Amino acid sequence: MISWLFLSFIFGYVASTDSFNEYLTTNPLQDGRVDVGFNFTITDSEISPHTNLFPLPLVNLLRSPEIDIDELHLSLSAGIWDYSKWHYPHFPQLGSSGIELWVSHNSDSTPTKWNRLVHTLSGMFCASFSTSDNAHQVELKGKTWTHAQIASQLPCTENLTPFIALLPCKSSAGLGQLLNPHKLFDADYHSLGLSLYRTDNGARVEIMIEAVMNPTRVNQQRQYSTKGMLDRSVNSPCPLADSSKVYFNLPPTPQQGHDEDLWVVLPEDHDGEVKDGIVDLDIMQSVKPLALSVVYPFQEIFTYPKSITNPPLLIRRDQIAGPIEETMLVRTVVENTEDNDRQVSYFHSIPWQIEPWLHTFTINGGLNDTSYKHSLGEAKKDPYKLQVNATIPAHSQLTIECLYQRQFLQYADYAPDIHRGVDIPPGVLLFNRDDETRFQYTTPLLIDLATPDFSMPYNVIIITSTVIALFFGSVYNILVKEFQLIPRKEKAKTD
Amino acid sequence: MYRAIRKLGIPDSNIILMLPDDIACNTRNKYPGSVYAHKDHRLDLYGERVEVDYRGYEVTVENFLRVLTGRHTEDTPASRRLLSDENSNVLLYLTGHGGDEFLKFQDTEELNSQDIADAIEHMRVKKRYNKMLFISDTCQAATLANRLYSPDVLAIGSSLKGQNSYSHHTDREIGVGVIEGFTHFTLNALSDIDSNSNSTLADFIDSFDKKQIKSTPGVRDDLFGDLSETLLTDFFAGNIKVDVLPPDVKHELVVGESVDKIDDIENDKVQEDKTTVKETKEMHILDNLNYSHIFALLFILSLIIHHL
Repeated sequence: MISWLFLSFIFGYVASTDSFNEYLTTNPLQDGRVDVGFNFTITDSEISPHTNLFPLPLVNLLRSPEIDIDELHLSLSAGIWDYSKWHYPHFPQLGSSGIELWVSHNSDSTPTKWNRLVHTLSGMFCASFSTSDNAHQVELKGKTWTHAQIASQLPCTENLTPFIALLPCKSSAGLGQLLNPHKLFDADYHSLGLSLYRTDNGARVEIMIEAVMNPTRVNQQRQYSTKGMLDRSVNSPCPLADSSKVYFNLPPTPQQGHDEDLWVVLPEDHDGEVKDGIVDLDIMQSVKPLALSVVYPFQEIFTYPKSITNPPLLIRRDQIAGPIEETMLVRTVVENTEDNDRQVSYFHSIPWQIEPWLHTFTINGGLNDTSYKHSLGEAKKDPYKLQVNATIPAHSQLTIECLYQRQFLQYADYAPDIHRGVDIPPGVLLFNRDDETRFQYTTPLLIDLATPDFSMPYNVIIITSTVIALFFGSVYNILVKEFQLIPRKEKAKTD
Repeated sequence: MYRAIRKLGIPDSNIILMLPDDIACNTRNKYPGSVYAHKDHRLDLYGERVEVDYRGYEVTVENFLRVLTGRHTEDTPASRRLLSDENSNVLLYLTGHGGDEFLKFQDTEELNSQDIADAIEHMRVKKRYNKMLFISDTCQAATLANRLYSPDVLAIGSSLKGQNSYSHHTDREIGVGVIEGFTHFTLNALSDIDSNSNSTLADFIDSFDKKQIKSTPGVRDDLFGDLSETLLTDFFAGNIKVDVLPPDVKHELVVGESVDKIDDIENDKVQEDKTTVKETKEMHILDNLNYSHIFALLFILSLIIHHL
């Protein structure tokens, strides 16, 4: 009996090799904010329901022939990633606002597969992926992807709960302990992401959580600490993890004569190793609970930097009033701030409630190889989609402009809170940087539609009925009455 | 209500929570990720673990009736279905803005009392409940139960026809009424019991004080059996009863219907244990998986309730 158990244990151990690695990275940004990123990676050499570390719901997702996933990326984000000040997010997949989903299938994608997938994900992550109506196909990295966005849904505790549930140690040990919803959802920008890849015979899942904290908001001081930002500490490492690291990026060395920018890392006797401006700390080896901080001893109040360095590309999408009241101009400007030409592709989708006037569409500023493709939408079904490929010369701008008409909708087509406006998901800019595909998102737009006063129909009905009743009543009265002459009675004389 | 029944042992998988508003993470909330039901801010209702099954635009009358009647589209995942059967006790809790025989959904739709009555009858025919407790907390809430005609349903409404349901108190820091009077006293009553409590539905109804609630709770019990024989924990608490049998009793563990209801991981464990159990002739049998038979459907239109 015992030997059988022992054998099965050895056999089980050899048959499947899985691993779990986690890391936390913090990076001070030039405007006093701090970028905090968590990565939890679980790999398994086989996709089998007898899994040790790999989350079972994801195994079921990968094994389902009806869904047929090859690769999947999803993110749930709130706030706006400010590329001009913060440059690029630590995780290239993040940076959007609202829900974003990229999926590539092993064979052709069909509506059935898509429906099954979005419903499964909605159930798994407590979000309504199924309300997305702008799914479209994009060719990227030699694969066909289905891409969908929902701008109006923001993540909250109920979305973090299923992410934590996928971790081998949940939030009870290791870096998962730091996932404090009250702090993460208070951040200026926060994003929960998941990437699912197939490897040779197995699979890999990366769970990424990134948040931009603002320590200067509380008392105008730049100093920050892991404890202060997340209000938690790592007390014990996750015993199931193969590695558990903290990369605490240090601020740049201050320039000569700028004593107020001098900083120190506390506590001085931390367990980490300082290397290339990063405190590298191994949670598995560390004996003390995680508590690292950066303190500026000569800085009373944080002053905002007078000049900031720009990222290689800047993108802006604005909504400008059009020549007629029901129209609006959407202008997208992509600026190349570098000394080299840069090849980019850009796409966005606009809900069917807002209709483009294609004869007003213009692109300016690209080299001769500029190409674009419109896919027209269909009322109540498909949004309008635009895809542009262009090369932007050094230090110049690419401008894409088009007039849109805000449609008058039928009564039942208005959303319940239509007075808030219609959300337009962020536009996506794709480019290659350091041999890696990078994403850069515009801000989402909120468009006011011509919204009727919904009590109006009732008012109209009531007023019309009243008028008709009065008119009809008096006419009917006149028509049916028989008029007769009544002889005047002579008054009896009294005298 | 979600926190209260979670505390009394009902697992998330047996609760379907519908929230149309994102109160916790709305940028106008001064306390991100938190929802408080009292101005003392001691108990965070949202907490660190919460599972919301339907939210935002998905909270519609259609989806609500689909959950009750079990008529979903094929793709709907199990976590969004009410997987109850004829042994299940179902707690249905509705709060929001309402009026005489209707409850508002999303400012655009209404659920009326006839819809509720027909949906519950549909559930009875399809054997989706054993006993049902239907609580509604809205203005003129008792009128929502007027049309019910299915047996074994007890309906409690926070106020009678012509009465408003008022919020219990206002949190000056947030600037809104944080909890409804009826819910406040109901939760107080629930906080006094644990999952082994002997208190009955009759005790629960007797605990209502119309002066404190500021409205008269309406109870419709003509369809239900004896209130003093039904435990409050039949609806609000989940118990797993595990009995240890003496070692000389021979039993074979059959992975039957009730065990199917535990989630897959536990199920695997039970099957693996089977061999061991047979050999040692000693066994622990999962006697009565009580918790899998209590389902709750919470529909919270708005935690911030003013009078209508």
